[in-house]
Amino acid sequence: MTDQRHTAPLLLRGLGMRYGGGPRVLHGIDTEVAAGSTLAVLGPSGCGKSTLLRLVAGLELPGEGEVLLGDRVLSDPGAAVPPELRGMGMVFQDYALWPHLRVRDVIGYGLRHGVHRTTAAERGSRVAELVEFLHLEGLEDRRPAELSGGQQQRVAIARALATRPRLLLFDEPLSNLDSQLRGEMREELAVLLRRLGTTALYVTHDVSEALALADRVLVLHEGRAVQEAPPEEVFGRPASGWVASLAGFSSRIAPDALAVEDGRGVAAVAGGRLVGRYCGEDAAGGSEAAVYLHPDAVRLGEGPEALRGTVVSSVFEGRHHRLRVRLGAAGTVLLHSASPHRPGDAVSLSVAADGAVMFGRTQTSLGSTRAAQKQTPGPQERHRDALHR
Amino acid sequence: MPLPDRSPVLAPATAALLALGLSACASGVPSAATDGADLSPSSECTAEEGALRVYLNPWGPTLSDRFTQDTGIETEIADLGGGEILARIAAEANNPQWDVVVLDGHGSLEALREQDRLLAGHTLENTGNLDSDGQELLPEDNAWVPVSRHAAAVIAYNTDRLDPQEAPTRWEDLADPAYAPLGIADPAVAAPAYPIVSWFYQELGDAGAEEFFGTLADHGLNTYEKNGPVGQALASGEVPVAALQEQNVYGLIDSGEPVDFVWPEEGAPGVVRSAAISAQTPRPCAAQKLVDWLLTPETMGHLMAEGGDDGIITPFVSGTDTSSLPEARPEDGRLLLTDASFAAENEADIKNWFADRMAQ
Amino acid sequence: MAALLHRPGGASRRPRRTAPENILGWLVLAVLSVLVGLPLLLVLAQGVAPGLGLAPDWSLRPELLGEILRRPLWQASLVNSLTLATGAMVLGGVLGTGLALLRHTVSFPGARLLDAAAWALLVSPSFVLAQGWVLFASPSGVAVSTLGLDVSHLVFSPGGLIVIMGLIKYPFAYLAASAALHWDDGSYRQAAALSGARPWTVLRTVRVPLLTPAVVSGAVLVFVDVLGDFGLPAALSAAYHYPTLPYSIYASVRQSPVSFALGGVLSFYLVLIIAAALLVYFRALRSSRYDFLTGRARRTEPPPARWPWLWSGVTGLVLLVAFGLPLGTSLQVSLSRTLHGGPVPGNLTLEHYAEVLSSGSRMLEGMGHSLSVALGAAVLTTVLGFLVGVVLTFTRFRARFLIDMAGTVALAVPGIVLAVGYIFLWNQPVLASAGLALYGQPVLLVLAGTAAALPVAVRLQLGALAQVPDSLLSAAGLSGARLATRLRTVLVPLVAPALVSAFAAVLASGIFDLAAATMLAPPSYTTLPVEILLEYDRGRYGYATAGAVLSSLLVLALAAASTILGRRLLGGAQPSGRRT
Repeated sequence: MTDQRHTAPLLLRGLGMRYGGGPRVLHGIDTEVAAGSTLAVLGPSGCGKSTLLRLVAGLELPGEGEVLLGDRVLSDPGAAVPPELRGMGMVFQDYALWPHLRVRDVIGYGLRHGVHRTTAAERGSRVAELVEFLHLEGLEDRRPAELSGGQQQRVAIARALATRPRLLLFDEPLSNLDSQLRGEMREELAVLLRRLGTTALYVTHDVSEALALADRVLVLHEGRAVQEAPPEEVFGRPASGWVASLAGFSSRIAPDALAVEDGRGVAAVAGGRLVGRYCGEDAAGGSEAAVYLHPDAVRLGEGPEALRGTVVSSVFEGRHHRLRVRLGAAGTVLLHSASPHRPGDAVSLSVAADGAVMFGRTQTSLGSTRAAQKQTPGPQERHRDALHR
Repeated sequence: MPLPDRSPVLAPATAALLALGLSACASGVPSAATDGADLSPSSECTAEEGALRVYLNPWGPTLSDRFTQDTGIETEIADLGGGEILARIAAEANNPQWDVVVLDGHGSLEALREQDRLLAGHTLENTGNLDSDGQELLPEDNAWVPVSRHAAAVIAYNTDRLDPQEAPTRWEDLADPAYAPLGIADPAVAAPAYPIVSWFYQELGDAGAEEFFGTLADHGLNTYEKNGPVGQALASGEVPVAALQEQNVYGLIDSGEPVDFVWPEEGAPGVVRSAAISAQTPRPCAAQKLVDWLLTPETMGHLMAEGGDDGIITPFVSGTDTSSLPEARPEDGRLLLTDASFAAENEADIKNWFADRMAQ
Repeated sequence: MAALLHRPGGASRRPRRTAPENILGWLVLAVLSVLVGLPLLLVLAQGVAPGLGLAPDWSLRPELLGEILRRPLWQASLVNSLTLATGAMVLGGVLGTGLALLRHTVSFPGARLLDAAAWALLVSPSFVLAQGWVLFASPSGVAVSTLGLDVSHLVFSPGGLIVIMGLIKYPFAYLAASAALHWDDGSYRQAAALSGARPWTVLRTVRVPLLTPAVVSGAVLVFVDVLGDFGLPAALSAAYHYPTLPYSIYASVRQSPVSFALGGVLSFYLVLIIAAALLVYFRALRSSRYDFLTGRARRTEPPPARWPWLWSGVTGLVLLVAFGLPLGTSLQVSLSRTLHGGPVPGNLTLEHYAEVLSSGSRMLEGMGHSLSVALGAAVLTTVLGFLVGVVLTFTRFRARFLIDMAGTVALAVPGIVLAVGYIFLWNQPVLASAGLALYGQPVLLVLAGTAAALPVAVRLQLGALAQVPDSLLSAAGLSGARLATRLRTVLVPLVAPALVSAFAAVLASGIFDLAAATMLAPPSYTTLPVEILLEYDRGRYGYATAGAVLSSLLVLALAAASTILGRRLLGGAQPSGRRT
């Protein structure tokens, strides 16, 4: 099933777009997707990620910039190769399965009409191959309305693969599935993309999909690329507080002070101290110090550096209780607790180092309450110097 | 404009548009106006290619079939109401679609003559067949030719509603409210109706005529599009009295309807049936042949015998066999003809006044 | 939205610039300009510049527009038209809305007949129905001869005509209200009831406000259609003097004395009034688009009525009066020797049918001509309506708004005005010398029929097209299918039912297109509506009604056959369940 020879790198140069006289929905996107790799475009709804996908597919005309697949220019401002000649396959958010056709005709459509037309025999064997590959045996004569959500999803993928595209496009393909099925399909898709080895562009608002499926992740915020990196880096070193919250660091607190010690970020919060990864100034602007915490990294428990707070709310969620704790003036944090608490209870919190990311202006030391450590030279040194320059 | 290639959806539309273009190309292109003086008489010329297009009010296929049979010239006829014919001629003013018109109402043709819409100055070989009344009507330039005349209206009444001695005998009697509502054909639509109205205008003057028709309207004046429905309304008693074209009256009497009529002693407003040729005809020779053919006693005899109601006329062509006329028609009925130029000059004003009066 | 973008490129490395959607858009726009735009402009121009395009010596005379104040005939026409349209709007609106409420509030035997009757009335030619009424009510008509009732003074009065028009045109209001009631989600009423509202309060505070825009738009459609209707005045002119604007426009162009300028002035006022009414219509339509309704609301069968036979009786009565009376009259007259003879054995005859069906009868000839014209117009209209719908729904063609406007304008222009414009446009010597002398050609009837039927065809198809998600076409494009293939393999099968019903509706109404036929048919080209009207005007009622009855049966058979045939042909391509 692997079609390495058909695949090609995708190159976007300064891609920009606005609808009519309206505001710009994409600003100068530059990226390259290496042949055979998957780029996930991550962002909330309205960030421009679907527009980016439609520009690549040729369903919209770019206002500026270029799209290249391999050495072929697909579009430049005001002109474009039409979608039918781009040799791409796309899996739509709503699957877009033609209600009047049967599964075998849906999958074989591109091989019967248009530029990828082949003989009936070839079409038959290709459809059979895809039916087997996607476990659709026995469904060939059904119509889309007679399929389950997961089956529809697989038919949509089979159709996208039928014409042996050089590039695969996915437009939030899992968003229409219920949460359990979504997890299963995420796994299946990850395996599938590895096996296919086709260049793929995967648009999603779900960070776990992006992290699970992609070789690299492009984060879009209000039409601009705010970070492009491998999934681990987006998670481990987000470019901004906004990316951090998108990546799941959902509690934002304002520390009393922030410093870099031994290459690690250290923050003084609510009478305690927490350690995390310092990510420099927020790329989105603003030098105010901020700490973002992942709920899974926050634990209840006493300790010398524990943060002290009061429970605001507690909601039972099955495996755990979801607690919101106010840390004085710093703000509130979310955490999961095994035991229930009542609003007003005083609690102490500790935070695992990999669950906190920090942004903003640092100080040399956190002051008298904590033992100030001698700074050692290192990358953070340079960073701090840069900040103080 | 280029079409997307291999476009089966657009194919029918394209085909239809192509068909449009083709059929359009096949149709004739009108030529410029012809000066009649340059034309040879009909016996010396050869009929042009293509069917002769005739707009006619009376006779229809009875005329065209016999003409084709006698001369071999094909025709294409439009058998329409008189008002409709005039309207079509006006609509086609800068691109006439007709060659010959045969119409009840010489006033309307006189108006066309004054607008230079008619072929004039040409030689017609058979105008000598016209009797003295016909000669008197014939314009000097032969622009239109009178063929026959008949009563546009006699006083017809329903015998169930009125005894013969109660029936009106003179036109002015119609103003008596006892006879209301009066039935009459609409001069805007029916060709023979304008000669009635215009005669009253000529006879009574503008003010007098307007007062007369105003009185009729006040008492109840039912206008119908054509003479046929006027007759139906009279037969059913919807109107007790009608100013009805003579042929319709004989038809009703013949079919046993309770209808009788009075041909007033002063006379009945008459309508002159006339023929004319379009100034822009591309087939002047064939058209002249038709007019000359009309002016023979043989043709008139045939049209009178076979024309049904349209054959009940007094021909202007001398020597015509008139034995086909119904018994009910008085032989000595007097006809009152409106002067052609008077009728032509006042046509629009009179018809508009009438339409406006009826709308009130 | 942009599923149809782009022109199919060749093998070139660089992208191309012209998208096929734009070519399609310009093409559609050009066709619409010729079909609707130019003729209308020419008519309206006559109102201020008489002779423009007709004679070499035209002049600008804007004062003509004031002429309407001077001539009693026109004032009467204007007043009559407005009286008739307003009255019919109120009556038809109330009747249509009431019947729709009845149909969707309770179920009773025969309720579905109301739907069928509404559609049948909608495609029935108004002049045939009106002739039926005239023959029924005239002093020598069927009411007198059969029932012994002289209703002529009741019927031949402004009030009587309003009743006739209300009965003929109520389906507009019925169908508009029905469409809104289909989606009348019971939960809105239940929520109100649970909040403590009594049934009457629920009706007043929930149901009526939700329904009002549909009722208003339905009533305005009645108004517009009555205002532009030529059938009733044409049928009526034989019996009762009641000039209306369309009839006076007709008279100014087709009766003596001819005055195109005056036709233009009257057309100007008629179009103006209709345009104003349509503004109201579109406002009502916009505010009736409760988008959130469509997702949740379900079509539910109403509960059984408490007195089902009462409502069946009401339905029967409406059908009897709206349909049975005019058509029954026509049937009786067509079987009678004389109109005033009444239904006695001696007066019964089949001679009129024999005459119609005898070989070489002009009625048969006219049927053949009208049928072929209507077929041509139905094909053109369906294709054009589909393409207009595609451009409006699926493309970002820059001049889309112009296409939208042309469709709306065509809705506002009565057939009679459009037909006058066709004379002006197509009888230009310029066209003749360019080999395009269409005036006096039957093909002009096809074009006029297409223009007149286009708004209906577009509206019937737009609804269906709007339900097709863009992604279905995008998916086909990405699979390598070009524009035409996408339309053929995806869109046409999905909207096939709408295409078929548009075709059937245009075909059925096109056969009786009186306005176009009476104005544009070549003199020697007999058409069915003109022939019926001509014989009717000549007082040959039996023959005229025999022709009308036979051709109505023909139309019914054709509409049924084309619907069945279309369903069968396209049957394999029908979606079997819900859309994904």
